[in-house]
Amino acid sequence: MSVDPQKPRKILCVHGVQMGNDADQQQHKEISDLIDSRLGNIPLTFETEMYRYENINDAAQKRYKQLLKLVAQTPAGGIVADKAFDLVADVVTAMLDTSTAAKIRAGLRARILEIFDEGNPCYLVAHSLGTIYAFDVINALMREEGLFLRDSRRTWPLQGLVTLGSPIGLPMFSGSERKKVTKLGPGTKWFRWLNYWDRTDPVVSGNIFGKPVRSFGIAEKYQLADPNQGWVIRDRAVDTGRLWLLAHTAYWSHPIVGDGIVDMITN
Amino acid sequence: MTKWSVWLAVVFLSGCSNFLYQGSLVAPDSQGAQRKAILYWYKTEPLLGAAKAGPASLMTECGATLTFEERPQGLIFRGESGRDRLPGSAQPLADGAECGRIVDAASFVELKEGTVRVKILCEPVAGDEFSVVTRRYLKANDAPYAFEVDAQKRWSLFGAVIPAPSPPECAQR
Repeated sequence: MSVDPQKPRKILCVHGVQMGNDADQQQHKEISDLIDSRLGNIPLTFETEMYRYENINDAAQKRYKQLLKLVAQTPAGGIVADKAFDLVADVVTAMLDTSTAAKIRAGLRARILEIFDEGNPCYLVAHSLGTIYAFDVINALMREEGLFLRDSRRTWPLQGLVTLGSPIGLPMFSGSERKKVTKLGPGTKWFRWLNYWDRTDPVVSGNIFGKPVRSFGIAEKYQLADPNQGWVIRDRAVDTGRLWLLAHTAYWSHPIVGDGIVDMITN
Repeated sequence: MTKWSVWLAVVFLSGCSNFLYQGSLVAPDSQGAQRKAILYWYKTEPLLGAAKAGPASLMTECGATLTFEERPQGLIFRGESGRDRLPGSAQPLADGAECGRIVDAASFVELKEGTVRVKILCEPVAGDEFSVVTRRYLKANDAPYAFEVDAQKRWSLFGAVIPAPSPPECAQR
């Protein structure tokens, strides 16, 4: 297994906290349009693809949803409770070390390794809760024998990570497996992680009222001064042009985010 | 009455003014060729609450896009070991070292239209087999580059993004 730099770039998108089902997750089309609009006339072939896990979540949460509907007696109350539960349960599923979370991580890992087998340079663009799954899977892959040899990017199943509106700075997601990133060891190549976040995004701040975050670092808490770590981690506070929850959904089509993705996949 | 209350709440919670700032110039890139460079960034002023803005993209014709971020030390482009270096240096750059600076403000919210000066302190390192294009940006220079920046403003009920300037077309690589 080896990555061929001449093959089309594959951008694998991972959605976050969602309502609806797998068929509703089409954010890879937004990323494709975004890259097209920011690429200029750089001669690059690429494909985008979605990793979907909402149906896995929904199947695991079905019996709890039914219980909640019984509790929410009125039809209107049932609808509101159902939507709210869908979102909250997704978060709890990722936060806890559940078999559902393990199934979602295994599916993502398997798809990344399939793309690796096919030889395409692969980049991960993950949103919201999906960034937690992405972080876990990348760090686990880096611990596997024969993958991510520091000075040979051809052994890297993933060439870079872009996270959007990630809650990874919140204490609820700082489990024992997420205290640090996996070191790549000595060498000269760097694994790049760009973390875009809006200051009023409540999923990033953990503040339901969207109180702005004034600090500068979220993902960079993982950055060590030790060059043997092999990661370049950049937090980029981006003004999405929207406020509160609207900011949380605005990253997929933002030009500044697109510029960062293009810079990553062309180098 | 209730309907009006909901509308008022929506207006105050999500209504805002959106700004796009952009300017361009032609100057030598890191390989000495005259190239067009475009600088742009966004700002949002909500009806309620503090304004937010940035980061800025600096796009160079036939080259790379640099990101200037707001950090405690100002508006800077942070270099990466393996991608940037001090001009003529054989030593790898310390990751995160300052490689560029917007000198006219300490935050993007304070940065206005008019002349915006940008210093470039580093040069790009040659890429590897994964590089599709040669990474270039404006030549390192003691004197800052002066961009004449215009602002566009738009009011929006739910927030919006004014279309960004297109990357400069590369006529000759």
